[in-house]
Amino acid sequence: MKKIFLIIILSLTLFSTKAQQVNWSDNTTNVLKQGRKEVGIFSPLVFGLKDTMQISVNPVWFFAIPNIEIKKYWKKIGSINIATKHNLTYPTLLYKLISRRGTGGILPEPSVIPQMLKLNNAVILSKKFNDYFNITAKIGIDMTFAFGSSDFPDIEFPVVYPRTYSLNNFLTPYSGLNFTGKIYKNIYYDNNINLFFMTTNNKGIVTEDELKLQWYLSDKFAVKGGTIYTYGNFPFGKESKFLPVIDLLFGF
Amino acid sequence: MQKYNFLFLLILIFITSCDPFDNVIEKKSNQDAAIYYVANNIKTPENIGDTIKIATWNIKFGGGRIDFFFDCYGDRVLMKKSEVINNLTALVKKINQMNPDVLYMQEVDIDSKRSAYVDQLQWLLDNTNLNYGYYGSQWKSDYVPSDGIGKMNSGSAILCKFPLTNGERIPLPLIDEQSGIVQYFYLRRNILKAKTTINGKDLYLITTHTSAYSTDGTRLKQLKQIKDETEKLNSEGKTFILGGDFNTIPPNSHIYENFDDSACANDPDFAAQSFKDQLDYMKIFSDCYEQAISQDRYDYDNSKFYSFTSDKNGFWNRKLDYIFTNGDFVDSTGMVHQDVSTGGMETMPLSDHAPLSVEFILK
Repeated sequence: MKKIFLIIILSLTLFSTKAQQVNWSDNTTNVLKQGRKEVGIFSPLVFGLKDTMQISVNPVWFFAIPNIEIKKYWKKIGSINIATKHNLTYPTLLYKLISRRGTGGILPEPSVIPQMLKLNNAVILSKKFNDYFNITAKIGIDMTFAFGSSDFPDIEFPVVYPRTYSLNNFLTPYSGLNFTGKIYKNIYYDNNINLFFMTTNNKGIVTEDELKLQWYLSDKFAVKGGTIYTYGNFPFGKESKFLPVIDLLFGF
Repeated sequence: MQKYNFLFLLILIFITSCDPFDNVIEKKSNQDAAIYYVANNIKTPENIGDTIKIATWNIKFGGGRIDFFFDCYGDRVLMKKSEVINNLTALVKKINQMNPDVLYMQEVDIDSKRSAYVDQLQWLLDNTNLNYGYYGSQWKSDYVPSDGIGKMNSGSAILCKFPLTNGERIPLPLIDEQSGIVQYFYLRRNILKAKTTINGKDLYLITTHTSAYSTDGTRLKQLKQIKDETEKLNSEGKTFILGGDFNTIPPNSHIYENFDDSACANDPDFAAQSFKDQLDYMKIFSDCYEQAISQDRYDYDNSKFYSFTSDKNGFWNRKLDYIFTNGDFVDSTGMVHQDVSTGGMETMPLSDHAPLSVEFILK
């Protein structure tokens, strides 16, 4: 075990000595350079379509939950950069897959799943102070258009709940702040705070604070790790929770 | 230095977030894992004489006789709040009719999606003559990713008219034959223990609910651990009353397999188990302690003391529920409340278990 750990550390160190200038996607208004591609174990495949536009899909989940996202950098006004993000998801297939008996039955089997189209639009504003501190603000809205009869419960698990709330409740406005910057050499921090506003039934706010370290070993490989702290109103009452975050990213 | 502090903090937070479904109840101490409850309105108990009434009841999470998915003929997973309240109201009617001074309960939901997040223990304390309670989780998960169950917090409880102290949830062995992932999301059986003082007498109240499905001897290990716990009290000269759902039939049971509620006997997932090799399991208690239903009474007529059936259209067909003490019960007061003729009320529609009660002598 110790040997394996040593090999991993040595490999990472070797990678890091080759580290180039950081060129990875992030939560700011930045988009990938034209032609660059990036994918993670858990993160979507992101492709720099133009120097001002990136497109992303989640290849692993694509056949269960077809999805596409476009992020467009618009312009700089004063010191503020402006971008928008637009995401279209078709969650019906996935919801039908997870409405089942036995293991993997996230929803009860008798659930009635309608045809659903989920649309997410957000405006992003970023200001870079220096290499060590960037601030980004965003405001967005999740909207789901459902066709046909519908009878399925919400998935009341932190992180998933606010992102699927609109499937049963049409609308989820949200806003957020992001702080990012360099800590040391090619190690960056990323603190992403989100507030989701529940519009019907159990009105209230769910907040999330995702705090992680990103180690950009090169333009081709990066490691992310940290935690999400979530707190807010759920149908069963207040809930607070820490969840781990980890991912390996590959760029090419 | 500040950078290292930040790194250390991040690593610490990452490590503490590694039970993402919050299933491992044993992270807490035995004392902290026993949750104390008090009724919103304390009812003054009537004068206690020389005896108190003890009862035990597995209430099937207030599900009454709804056909759930785990019954082979059902498909329900989640109840509406109105259904839960209606079922609890029916349970309360029976509890108030029995009027126990101490009530042990199994399968009480306090925060479960399947029972519309009704805190059943609080609801029962607020609607019966019982004032105080201790709760110990048996199945707790922020999300059970199976059968659409979702958030779950279900367990055993001790309810009492008198204040309770020294609550403790003592973990029992997990089922060895299960894989790690199944074990992580599965039930974590336990002993729930508390102390009360009635008319100056200290009583140790203990309830449990042992594994229903295990073929690897886990249930026997659990029973032995429960016995160790009661023996410890016994050797210290303390009086205990142990009650609960032991998921085991008594010695000398005429029927021990092929029960008539095996509605889907051809499907191994739903066939009732055989107790053929387990008929002596309960002897470790019945040979040492007094029990609510003596072995003689049971031997004379098994069927009068049956307390379980999964078939709402049938009748009770096996005894799984017990009350034992190292003190004294009033002779022949032990009763399984099977129906109007034995208990004064129909109990078949209320749960898949019938309540068992007995008079205990305070001396």
